[in-house]
Amino acid sequence: MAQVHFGSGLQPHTGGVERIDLDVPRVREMLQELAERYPGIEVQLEQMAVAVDGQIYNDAPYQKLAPTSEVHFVPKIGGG
Amino acid sequence: MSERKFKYVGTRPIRHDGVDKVTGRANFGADFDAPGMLHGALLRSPHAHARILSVDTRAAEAVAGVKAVLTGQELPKLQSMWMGGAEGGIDFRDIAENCLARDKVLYHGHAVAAVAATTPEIALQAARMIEVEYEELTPVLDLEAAVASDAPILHDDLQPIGATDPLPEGPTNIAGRVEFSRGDVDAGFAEADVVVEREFRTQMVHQGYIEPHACVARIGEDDQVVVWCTTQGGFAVKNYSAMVLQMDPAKIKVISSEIGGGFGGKTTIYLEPVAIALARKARRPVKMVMSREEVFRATGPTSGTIVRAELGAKRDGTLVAGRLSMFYEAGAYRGSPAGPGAMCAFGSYKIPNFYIEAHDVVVNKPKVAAYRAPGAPMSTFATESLVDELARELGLDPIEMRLHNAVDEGDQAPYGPVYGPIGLRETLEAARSHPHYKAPLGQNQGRGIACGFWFNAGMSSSANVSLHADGSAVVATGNPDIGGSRAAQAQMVSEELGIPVERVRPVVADTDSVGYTDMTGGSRVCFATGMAVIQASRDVVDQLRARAAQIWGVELDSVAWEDGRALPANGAEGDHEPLPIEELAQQMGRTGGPIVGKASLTAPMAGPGFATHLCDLEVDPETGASRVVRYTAIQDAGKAVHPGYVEGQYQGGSAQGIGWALNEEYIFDERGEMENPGFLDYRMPVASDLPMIDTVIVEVPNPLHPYGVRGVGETPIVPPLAAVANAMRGATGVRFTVLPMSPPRVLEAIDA
Amino acid sequence: MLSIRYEAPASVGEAVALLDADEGAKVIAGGTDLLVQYRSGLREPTAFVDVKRIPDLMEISIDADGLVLGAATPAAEVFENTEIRQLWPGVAEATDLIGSTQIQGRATLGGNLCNSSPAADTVPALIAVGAQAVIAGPSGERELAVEDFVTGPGQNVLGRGEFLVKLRVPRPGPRTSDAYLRLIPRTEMDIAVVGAGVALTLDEGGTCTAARVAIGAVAPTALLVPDAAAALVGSSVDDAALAGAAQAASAAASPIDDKRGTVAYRRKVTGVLTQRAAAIAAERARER
Repeated sequence: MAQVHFGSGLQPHTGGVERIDLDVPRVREMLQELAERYPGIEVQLEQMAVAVDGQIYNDAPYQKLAPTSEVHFVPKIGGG
Repeated sequence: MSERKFKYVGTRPIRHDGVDKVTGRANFGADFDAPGMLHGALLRSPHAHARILSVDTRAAEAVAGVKAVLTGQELPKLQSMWMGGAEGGIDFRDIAENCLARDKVLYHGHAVAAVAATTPEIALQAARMIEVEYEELTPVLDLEAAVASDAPILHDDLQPIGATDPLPEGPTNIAGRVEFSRGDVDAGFAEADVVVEREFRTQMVHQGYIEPHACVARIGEDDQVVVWCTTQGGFAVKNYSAMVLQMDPAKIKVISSEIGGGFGGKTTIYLEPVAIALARKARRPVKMVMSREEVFRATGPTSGTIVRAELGAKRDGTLVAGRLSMFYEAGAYRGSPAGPGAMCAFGSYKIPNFYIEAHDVVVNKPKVAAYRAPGAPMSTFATESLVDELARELGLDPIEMRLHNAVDEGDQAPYGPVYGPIGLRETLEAARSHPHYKAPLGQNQGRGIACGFWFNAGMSSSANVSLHADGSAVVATGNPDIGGSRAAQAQMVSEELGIPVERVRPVVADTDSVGYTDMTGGSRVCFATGMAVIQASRDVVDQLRARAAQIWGVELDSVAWEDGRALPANGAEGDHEPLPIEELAQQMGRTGGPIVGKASLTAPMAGPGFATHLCDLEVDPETGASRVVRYTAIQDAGKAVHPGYVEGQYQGGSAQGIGWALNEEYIFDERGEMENPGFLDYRMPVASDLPMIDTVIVEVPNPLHPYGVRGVGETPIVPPLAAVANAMRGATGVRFTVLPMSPPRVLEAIDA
Repeated sequence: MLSIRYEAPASVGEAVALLDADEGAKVIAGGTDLLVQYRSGLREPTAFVDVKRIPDLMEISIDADGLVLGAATPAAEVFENTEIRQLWPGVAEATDLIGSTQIQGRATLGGNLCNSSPAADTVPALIAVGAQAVIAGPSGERELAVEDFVTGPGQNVLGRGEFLVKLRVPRPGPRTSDAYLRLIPRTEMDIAVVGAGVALTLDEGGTCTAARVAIGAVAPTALLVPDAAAALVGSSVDDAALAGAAQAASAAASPIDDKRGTVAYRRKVTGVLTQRAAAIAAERARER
């Protein structure tokens, strides 16, 4: 199951949960699952990029998640 | 990947746009004129904070030669819509009201109304005749005043975004807050043998691009708009302008000019929607060009900051805990780079316990824009200064101290995910063995070391590679070329096709002529657009192989491509004479038609770039004046496609960072008017201020790119603030926590 | 409404007549200050009277009496003149500090004086060497010391119809030399935060017999500081005398706090630069 980590900025929305394991095939399903478990978190997550196994994607709902995948949410970065 | 032998990548050809630039032929933003063109001018606010009660344009409209007058009320009223991001997030309502104020002016120089007239002089004079009635409000001019409980409020409807826990209730100037943490920070500090704590301050600084913003907008009788402008992204100008004006973006075509510097400052829009709206009213093309003063007063610098920082280590130098509380000025509207500042602050080190909070705070100053590694230089100034202090207190060599704590592949970044292959350790080792580090210091000299980190963006890019009948090629992408990207792209085409760089013509295409491409920014062009170029080139190669297979009457896999020629392969060796690209190109028409390779992609973040800088500074103890006497910038480029332009990025970022450290700052009077809106008193370094900046390119290949490329443009501005401050500490014995370290400030501290 | 007349008189008399007839007319030599001020809206002249075609204004002549320098002579011609560099090295080095190489092809010492900025680099240097300003006007020529020319920031003694024709600098005697130093945060393309010019004469035994000290950017006008000179005269320009000159110069300064520096900073650095310039001038005088 993919390990999904929540930074301290997101934990108020997860009731303090730092990590959950989800059996989801792609980023999109993961986001849907999280919105169901933690209503309101989707508003925060929309603003964020998703890091899957160290690679950061600004907007990649169809990115596949492996059973061993580590997922973090990070603010979107553009740059100068 | 690292095994690959390159023929063109890694060489230093003269850039294709170079001769026109050094001989003055290149067309920059202000160089374009259209027949029948009018000139636009803006009336700007004399107040830093005021309500607009009325705008009377009658006198201006009556001036002979005036063809259109525009106020903020005439632009569509937009709903707030925040497109989030760690920095430079976008609210199109804010962008629109920054182009022309609607109900309130939020900084001195905020555009209030615009005029188009037959000459620039008439336009300016008429603009001054527009009568605006203001209700003056108390300006909020610094971070402490902005977060005070009784602070005047800039935006009554501002809703804080982000980690919401301790945000105030009711109206606030705190637009957002992020936090990052790991471990148990209190326990970490309890475990530390030495703890250092300081408060760091930096002032608003400008990118200082030499070319002011400029554009021409033309509208046809069918409402099709063409905009010529200087920008870091033609597609951004197209889409943002359409949003601000509530137009169909399909009606806007943007042709980007050569660009005289951007550094992030040209990733947003100021003039373009105004010029389009004026052109629409006057039914004539309108040109708008900012003066240098307007650039300083009313475009986006980067934030002034307060960073309260604390760092603890064990006696052996192991970092065990860190705490940062940071405040970043957003300027008039939300969207400072507090987020990436927080994410980068501890990016270089393994720290088991930390807590970082960063606030985005609105103040009555120009709205900040992206500036090279947005947010990172300020937070890194704090953390790298403290690492230096710890090394001093513990009696450790500053490079050894950093090596002891440096992040490696597999370590977790402070913002969550683990790092892939990275080159921080390699840059530190290169610094340790560099002659600079061993060179003796003279009297009144000090040496500073600092590291820096930046993410490097990915995002969307497109490229077309077209083959000409003579076997030469054109590569077209949608990225304005700031740092030599055209030369690098031509080299990539050369590498894949096997033709000399001079036989490749790299082109910056307009928004009607190439697939969607995100901005030139985030150090992404050589990486992400480069990947599209390589893929498009490989598409051309596949088509060339197919043509050769057709000519030879063999299967595709019996044709190899090497050094610009199709060769029989897979057992067919020797059966046919090699077919050079020139011959295949000449036969394109009869073998299936012209050959165009194309590629479009969305790349993930490019893989972090790390740097270590060394700075030697000499201080005149009687005047406080300082001089950088030696400077070495060492950085992991992954793979340097054009080493000369990679070095140029290292040198340019270093120079900007040194200016930030020593002399650059926005100086405001008590009413919020900038007192130094010109290069005379906004003291960027000039060439003679700096030594030749030495560079070392470290190459730890990036697995995300076929050649191993990483972004290189932004990281170089991250270490210098602390590198210079650490050198100043060595030269004077004083730890400077406030930038800039200008001569009066230095002398005062030395004499104290 | 927005047009400006351009006049290029060929004689001093013609220029005086043009200036006298139109109060809004401004003399233009190099234009390196005036055009910038005009473009930024600080000045709105009705006419530019270009004085570069008047032979007197483009003259450089050096004889037994000293230097006669036409007010419109470009800075580059001044500091590239080897004789000027030898005789008045402080004036030459102050001239070399004006703007960039390109600017120096047009900028003039006369313009630097007439722009009357408190921070003008050549003004303290000229005061130190005892330069005189020759002014033409409707009632003929008059001459006065450079230290009496500027009356306040951007203000000077020129009346209606008057303009600066030339500068006269007396020839230095034996063992006499000068030096100018300024402080800027950068190395060039900047404006003085503090400036100090010193000229002095030594006798055969190395004792200072005459000195003039002038400071810039630390008062509404560049100042001649007799007390600083007095601290040097009679000494061998040793450390004690230099310290005395520094103290006197700091005391004479009446700077303001602004974006370029604080009062305390400017006061202290006035002394530091005076001391250093005096030491350089003395070293040069010993070699002459």
